[in-house]
Amino acid sequence: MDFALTEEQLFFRKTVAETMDRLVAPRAEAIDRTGEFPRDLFRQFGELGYFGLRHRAEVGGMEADPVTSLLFFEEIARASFGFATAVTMQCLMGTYFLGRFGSPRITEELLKPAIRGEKIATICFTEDQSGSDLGATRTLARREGDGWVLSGKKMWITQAHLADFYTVLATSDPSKGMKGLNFFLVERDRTGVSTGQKLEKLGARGTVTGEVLFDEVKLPAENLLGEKEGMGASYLGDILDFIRCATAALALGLARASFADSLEYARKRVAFGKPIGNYQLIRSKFAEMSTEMEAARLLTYCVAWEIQKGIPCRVKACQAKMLATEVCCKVVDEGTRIYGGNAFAHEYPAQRYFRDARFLLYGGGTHEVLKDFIGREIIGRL
Amino acid sequence: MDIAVLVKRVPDPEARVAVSGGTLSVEEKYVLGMFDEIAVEQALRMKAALVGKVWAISAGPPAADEVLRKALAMGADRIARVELRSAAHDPWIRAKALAGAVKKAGAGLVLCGKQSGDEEAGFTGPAVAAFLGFPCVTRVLSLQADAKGGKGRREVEGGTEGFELAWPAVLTAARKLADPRVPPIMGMMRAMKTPVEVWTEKDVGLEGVAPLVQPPAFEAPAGRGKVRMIPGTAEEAARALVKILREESKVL
Repeated sequence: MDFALTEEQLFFRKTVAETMDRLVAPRAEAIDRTGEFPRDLFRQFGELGYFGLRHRAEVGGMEADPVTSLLFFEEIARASFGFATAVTMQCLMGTYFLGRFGSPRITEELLKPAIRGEKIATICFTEDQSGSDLGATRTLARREGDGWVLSGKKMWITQAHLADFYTVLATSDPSKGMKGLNFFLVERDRTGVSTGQKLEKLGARGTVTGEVLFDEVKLPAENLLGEKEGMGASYLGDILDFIRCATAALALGLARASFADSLEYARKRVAFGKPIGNYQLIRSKFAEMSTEMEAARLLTYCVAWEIQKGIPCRVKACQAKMLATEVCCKVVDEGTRIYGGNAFAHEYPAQRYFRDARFLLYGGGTHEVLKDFIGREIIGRL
Repeated sequence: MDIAVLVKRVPDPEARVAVSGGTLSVEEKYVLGMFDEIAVEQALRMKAALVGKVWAISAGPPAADEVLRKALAMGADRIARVELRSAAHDPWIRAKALAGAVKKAGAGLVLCGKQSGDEEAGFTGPAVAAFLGFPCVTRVLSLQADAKGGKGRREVEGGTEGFELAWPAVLTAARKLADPRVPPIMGMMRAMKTPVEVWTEKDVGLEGVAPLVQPPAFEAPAGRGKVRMIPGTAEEAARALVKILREESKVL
């Protein structure tokens, strides 16, 4: 057994951490306060090559392995969770299907510019009646000649109003449930594409989240992202474990940010004549947080390693996402207790971490759905 | 002509540092020295004008490789480390090792920070220049360079002064010389795959050179004395403070 990161991975983590401390962390407070998407920073990330993290070298990618990728997600979430959600979308779901199935035109006109940070990408899953229940997707794609016509309404779309193109989950046959699902590329400037309500969010601010509407949008055949019709759910399955694992890494990063600030506060804040870090109840909090973060990290990186090795890990990936998120929620909660009344003031970051952590409970699968799945896998169908 | 940038791995300014029993312990958080990083940036900007390669060179233990890799990720072409077996604490030995390394690399222009982030002695640049027999300009604020030489301005007490010189030379970087770039991911990938050239003391002509300085013993600075708050308006407080400085502390 070997739990050590390679020398290369250690170097990568350190260099990324320094970059995040320099470029992102100083802007985290303003990104959260204003809720505005920092387009200049996003562009700079493109120039630095971060959006190509998981993509092939031919399209400008780094081809980073799962473990190395997680190091990146952890560091960016530590610096600014709001911005991390935008970056993660661009690196992963926003561009994944283009990278895998994009035609030469799509690759040149959309994927490569997206990797350079010149175009914004996102994915459209959720609808009013479907979220975790993807089989209930109602956005309909019907064949017309060689191409497709797409109609439907998507909700909770990251970068809804800013994206240049969408990867849209739609059914080509509602009677088939999961087996009728497909992913379509929809460019923002196509006739029939519009955006609706913008959501005011509790946390993960800094991206515009809202509705995207498709009204009889005509698409050429190449915009079906896949080798054949009805394979959408299967393709999603190929990346699902990694997405959950990446979500867990975001949770670890956010927990680390909260932990580090709480630690500094506990060392400096004096109450009853001594730093509060000298009190056993405060020490106990750090002992517990640190232990649980360590456990969550081990499970998360173990899953990344299993993905790297091609070992099936669907259940374990759900467990990692769930454990890391629950630990993160605990760490940010303890942070607000360590900060005492100051946690209630916007002047201190404890409240920001607390709000941001809630996002993790829903993104990457609610824990109610994940627990049901894990339990079913363990017990089996009776 | 090649440029050599001398870089040092120093404790992160935010690392926790403790002194106990005469020894220093530093939290495991190290970075490329701030002024050295500026020197790397300046070297990269001059690379085209000088038509040569940029070397990053460090003298120290294997742990120093990480700052060399950072320089490589930023855009340096080659990286080398002198493995110092003994007397790494001695700035004279380090400077001699670095001068030998510059000679081995065949660089005609040497850049480094005006001072390191830990000892802050400002010794390395001038000492390397002396060992190499190169002219040296310290605390450089701005620089225009071509293949033959450069001119610019440097910091002096209370102001700046101009300079002009021909290569070879040693220049030390001040804060305003350049804003270091962030390493791009392609640079990081290159840095992750490129091995560090390791040179022995013999390779750089350091064998048999005795150190001038003994390893230091550390003492923690005295704790801060009692703080006395002076109440009142700003004017009242200022008057009270002057009175205390005159009559009690007798420093005025």
